[in-house]
Amino acid sequence: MIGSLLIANRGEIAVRIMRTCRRLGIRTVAVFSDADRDALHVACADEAVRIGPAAARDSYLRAEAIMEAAARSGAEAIHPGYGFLSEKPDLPLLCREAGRIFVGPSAECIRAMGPKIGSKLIAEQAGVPSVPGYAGEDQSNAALADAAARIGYPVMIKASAGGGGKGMRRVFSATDFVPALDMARAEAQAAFGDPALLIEKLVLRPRHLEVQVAGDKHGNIVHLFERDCSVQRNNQKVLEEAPAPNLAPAIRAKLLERGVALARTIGYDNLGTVEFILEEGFDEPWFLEMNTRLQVEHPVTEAITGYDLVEWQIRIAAGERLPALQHEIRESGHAIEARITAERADQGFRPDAGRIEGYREPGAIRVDSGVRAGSEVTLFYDSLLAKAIAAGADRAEACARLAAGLRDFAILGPATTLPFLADAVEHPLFAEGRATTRFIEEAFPDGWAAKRPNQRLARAVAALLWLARQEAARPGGDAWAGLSGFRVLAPAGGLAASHVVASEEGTTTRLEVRALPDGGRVVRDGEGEIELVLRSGDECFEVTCEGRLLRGSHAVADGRVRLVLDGEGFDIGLQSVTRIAAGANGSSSGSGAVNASMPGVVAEVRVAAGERVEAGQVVVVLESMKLFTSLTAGIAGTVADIACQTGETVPAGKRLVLIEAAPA
Amino acid sequence: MPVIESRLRGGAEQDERRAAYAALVETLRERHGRVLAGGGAKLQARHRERGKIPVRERIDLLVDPFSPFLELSPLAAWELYGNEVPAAGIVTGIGMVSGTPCMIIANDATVKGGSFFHETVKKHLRAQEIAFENRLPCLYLVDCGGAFLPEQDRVFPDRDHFGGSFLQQCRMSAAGLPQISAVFGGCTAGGAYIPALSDEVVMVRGTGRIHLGGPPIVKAAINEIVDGETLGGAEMHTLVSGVSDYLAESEFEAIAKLRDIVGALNWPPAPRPQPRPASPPLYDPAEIEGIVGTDLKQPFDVREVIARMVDGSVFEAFKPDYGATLVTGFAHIHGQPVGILANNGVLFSESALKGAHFIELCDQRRIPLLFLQNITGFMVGTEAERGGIAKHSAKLVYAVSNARVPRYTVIIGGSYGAGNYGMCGRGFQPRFLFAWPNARIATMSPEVAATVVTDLRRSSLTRGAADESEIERVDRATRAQFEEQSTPYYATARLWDDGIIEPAQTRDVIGLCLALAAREVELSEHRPVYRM
Repeated sequence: MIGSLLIANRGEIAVRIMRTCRRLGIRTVAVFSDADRDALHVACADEAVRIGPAAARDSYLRAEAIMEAAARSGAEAIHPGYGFLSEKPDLPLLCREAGRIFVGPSAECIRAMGPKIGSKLIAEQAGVPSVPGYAGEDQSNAALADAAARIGYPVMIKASAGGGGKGMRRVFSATDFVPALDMARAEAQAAFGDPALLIEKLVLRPRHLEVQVAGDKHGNIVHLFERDCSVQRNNQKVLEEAPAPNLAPAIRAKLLERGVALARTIGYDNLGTVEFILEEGFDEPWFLEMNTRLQVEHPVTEAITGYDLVEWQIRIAAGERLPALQHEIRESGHAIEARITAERADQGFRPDAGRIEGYREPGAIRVDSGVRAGSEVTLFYDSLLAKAIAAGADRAEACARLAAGLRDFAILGPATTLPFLADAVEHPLFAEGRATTRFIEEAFPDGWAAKRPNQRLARAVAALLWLARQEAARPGGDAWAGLSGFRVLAPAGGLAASHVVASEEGTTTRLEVRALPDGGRVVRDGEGEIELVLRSGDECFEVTCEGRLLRGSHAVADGRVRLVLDGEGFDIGLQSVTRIAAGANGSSSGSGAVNASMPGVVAEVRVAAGERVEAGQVVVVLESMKLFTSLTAGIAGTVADIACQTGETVPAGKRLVLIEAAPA
Repeated sequence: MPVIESRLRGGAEQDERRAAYAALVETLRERHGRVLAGGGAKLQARHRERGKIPVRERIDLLVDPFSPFLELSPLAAWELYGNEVPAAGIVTGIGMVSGTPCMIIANDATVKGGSFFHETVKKHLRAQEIAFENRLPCLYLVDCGGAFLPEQDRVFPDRDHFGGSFLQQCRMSAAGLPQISAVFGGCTAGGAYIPALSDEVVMVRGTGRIHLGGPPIVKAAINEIVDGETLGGAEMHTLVSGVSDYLAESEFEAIAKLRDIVGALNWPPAPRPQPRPASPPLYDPAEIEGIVGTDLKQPFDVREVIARMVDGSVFEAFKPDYGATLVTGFAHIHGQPVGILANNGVLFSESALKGAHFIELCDQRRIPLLFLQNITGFMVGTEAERGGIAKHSAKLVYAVSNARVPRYTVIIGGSYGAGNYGMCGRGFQPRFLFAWPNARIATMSPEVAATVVTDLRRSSLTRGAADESEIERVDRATRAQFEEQSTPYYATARLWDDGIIEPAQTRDVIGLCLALAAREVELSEHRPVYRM
């Protein structure tokens, strides 16, 4: 068995691999970039080694740095996780040279399955068909039309030399074929100087199915059933489950058989996944590619089989036989995983960044997470924060558990996909097991938007939480600190009042909050009054409003209240009316300083030194991940200084540009 | 500890008593309710139309959110004057502001224009008496119309009439109790003394007025026709007269400023104040070198230096719009409170007065002083001398000399002539004095010295006429002498300072010095703040 293992990865997968190591008594070594010094995976490891600057290409993608870290820490083995170096032959080769164990397949297997066309040829030899198509030398109209008829309409015509959509035509019937062919050929000739065309089956509503396979160094190959990962956005999986719902037993048998056949052909010797697509109305799964590593979604397979797949990987790499043979492997129940990413699901899944101010996992479901309260979500890596995995005796139970868990999950700070995922799981298309890869566009034709039935209440609760925080900060433990809202005239209606301004997504609302003698609060906004009773701890709160009791989690920091209320996330800025009037610098006279509103990268400097600007004119564009923020001049005047450059990473509050006021 | 065991039994008698008492409570609440309406809905609405906030809302905005407000004598003047002066037109009470319980005295301009009746004065004085006994800072939210003239004989002349409130104010200041005013409306005649006798004053543009005599009296007395804003508006008093220290664009802003002022009071002065958690400046102290440079003739904004020296770059500037060549304000260094005086040009009379006033504030509040010297001297010339710069700068020197709080000096540029005295040079025995490598210290700069000495030689009677070559020799020799003798190394070699430190080290060095002093602050003897 292995005594120590270096995990050449970060985030949830590094943490998850360490969990298995701890159980098996294996010492763990983490690697980290400068951006990850305080990351959870570093804190979870027995030892950690710095491997370079923040950018992945300078750290996690440097095989030599990983090998050096292994040498320095004396790690016997290296686990690549997924992504980064996991599907490159470099690490296994370097490990072989250095006499270390690579926890993954041989370099030969990785190489064989790497290239898309090459892997399809190998699959074909193993009797595993890919999407039907024609790439023959005979380019006559007749030959091509024959091929199309054989493949069956609809088909896709593609330029052989192609790319970028040029020379591509979707054809739905034989009558349209020749005219489309002529046009595609002309376009291909014009665009690539080569009129050669391919014909492929046009896939319209596919499901994404995959087979979990495992092999050892003793020639054993097994499958651990299939997964359905049809729910995707931008070719990234969002929801994954095992087993695949609504799959005919005959198709399922074919799928599993083909997965094992391909693995056997290449002598596969660790855990891997063979991916297929299944077009609606067809009974043939077509081979897509093979992933020669642990998949993000492996926990659903673990849930239905009861095995720890990381343990399998380690045992296989150490030379042991497979922990179970095919006839011993059973499945039971159903499991679904949701990938929680730091993204704005309501804005085309635009990544978001920032510090996680509050973090609370739901009970009753498995969570594999790479973050905790205080973690910094940076600009540098994949936006995956955590995975929630729910299992149940059947699919309906798993669905219900997952949705409830997602609504209970509080990640307060950067926007996350939690509310979107909960809505997706509860959508009838998914609930009925009918999702294809077009699920998101079909389920949310106008894009997903938060329903926010509790928005007004959330704003009121946020104001109360913010005020409660101010109250808790009062010095001394005496009656002056302890009594809340005391007024001699309160019984006569002279209630203590606080005036705050709540801001959310560019809208601001002025709220008046009055303290009732019984501890309740009345919040007045533009629409009227809401009466609430709030009880709050450091992280959780309970609010009663019109006889309804709601629970939630919150984090208060830097004039912002992040909260989850009844499964909805809110991020609300709060400030007292007086402080707003006084401005950030305690004075209302416009400031000539343009400061970074949040940490980020300077995307663009729109002015030059000496240039005249108007108040409100955009001077700098700041980027945090893909989020662009325009910073405007507070006053009219001349640009006196530019203290930043395009591409520079700047902290929040830094002055970027200085404008000298124009003489009045 | 023994607990009282109640023997109370319910029953008809109890119920009867309770019902009777409920009627009493009902009456009280009903009367209190009428007080809450102030001068009535119509006048409240007109008040708001003028951009003004009703007095009780001002207090809600001023005190810490939902902290208690212990209101006093709400039913003053009840059933007097036809019951038309609810609460006697003034709200008084104790409220928490920035964590400090303060006496709040606030006029209600919707009640007879906020003018003073006999009971108004009495309530005002009583509030001051309570503040005195309980050692509470006083906050005056001024919005008043002076004495209610039909009642002037019951307001003005006697021992416990209006004048008594100013006596209280002065004596409280002498007893070390901060007196702070925010001017929301008129302060005419005697009313002008409420802000003028305050340690710090905020005025609201457009509505705040301070004048000993309003436009009608000015016209009657000296036949000058002037509007109220020109005569005694917020901008004039903040920028020109210095009667006010801060100009606020709105009442909200004035209240926010008031909260900041109280937050910087360092109240109550404790034998060993608890330092705040230290936080680094927002900007890198290493950048100071690029700001200061090596050419003393190149001016720089000293606030950029302060921003790289103090915790969180937070600096509560005092009188930012007056005497701007001296930057004064409150900050923290490594968690310790400190009052900073830093040069941003030649010292004028205004800058000197502002400096003296600021030192008084720090002295009263037990806040140590840090002088950042970069000074060529005080303003010279006929205008300056006629303006009495010698006596005004002397006030600064006096304040520097007699401040009882620890004083620290860093020479961050030039230290020439009388400026050295006003900014706490070695002769004034600061606890520590450090210099930066770019510092220069001498009676005057080499250029000025050469001019002075060659002029003296030219006009010398004893040594006869000088030819140009001799003048040139004298010029060169003088320059060389001053250049050599004003270097920081010449100075430190002779122990004129406690060492040369790098600009980026200054925050840490001063932090260490402040922490030493924080261990021994004496609390006896108070001194008043005189508005300079």
